[in-house]
Amino acid sequence: MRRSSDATLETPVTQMIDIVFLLIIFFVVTASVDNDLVDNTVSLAQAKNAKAESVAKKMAVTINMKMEKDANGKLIIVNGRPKISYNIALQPKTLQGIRQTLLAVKEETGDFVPVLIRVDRNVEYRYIDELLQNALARIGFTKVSIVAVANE
Amino acid sequence: MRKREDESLSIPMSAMIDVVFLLLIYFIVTMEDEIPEAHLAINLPSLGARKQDQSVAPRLLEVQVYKNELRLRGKIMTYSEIDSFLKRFSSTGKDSTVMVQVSQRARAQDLVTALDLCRKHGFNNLNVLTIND
Repeated sequence: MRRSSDATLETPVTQMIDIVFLLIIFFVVTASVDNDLVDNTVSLAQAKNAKAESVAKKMAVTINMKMEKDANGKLIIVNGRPKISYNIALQPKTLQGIRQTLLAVKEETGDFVPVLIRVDRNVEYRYIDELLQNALARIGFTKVSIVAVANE
Repeated sequence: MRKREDESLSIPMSAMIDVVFLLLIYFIVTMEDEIPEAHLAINLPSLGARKQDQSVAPRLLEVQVYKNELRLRGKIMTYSEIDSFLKRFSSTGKDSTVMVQVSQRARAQDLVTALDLCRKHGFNNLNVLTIND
């Protein structure tokens, strides 16, 4: 009698491992490698009506743009203007650096690649315009996309 | 002898389960909710662009974007007024060229709101210009 009760208490290890492996495979597959290269500190503007991009643009260059803050969360002002920082895949860049990167990509691919701009929602347009005119339009990149948080 | 050989071949289940659980916990902890992102495509004025001869004048629509303020053909309008105007305008054709003129003091959110509104009604040819104010 004792023996039979022991037998019913055994954990079905084989089935459990099956499920656990399936879960791991799921997480490995869904974890995108690019995720590490997205600057999540940029608080994007909200687009109420837009739908999320279902397919990620391959070969697109994503420029992150934000206003630098100090340890207390206050904006850093230099010479009367907020300190703006740019990065591509978390690598800090200057406007000239962005131009060089885009020209290098253009030379490699032989075409104007799509450019995505992830800009902080509170940045004034004059600073965005500096990026658009001095780093993009100047070297022929006239089709760009502004990234915003989609509705769904 | 035979029994011994069988024993040495058995898989160390408990150790494997330990590792597998650690991996599972790692992936659950590192998983982040992906924010859905929309890409609002715009055209910039190119520096060396030549004026093209156009036999048919394009249907133009001008939207001005200021800080916390939208204007249509220079007239201040609320969000819903522009929304209903664009709805009417789009019913007569969506081939229009929209000139989005943005004030230097406007915020990125203001620009995105205007672009989003135009795209909502099917206007995808959005040209962004700067207002030097």
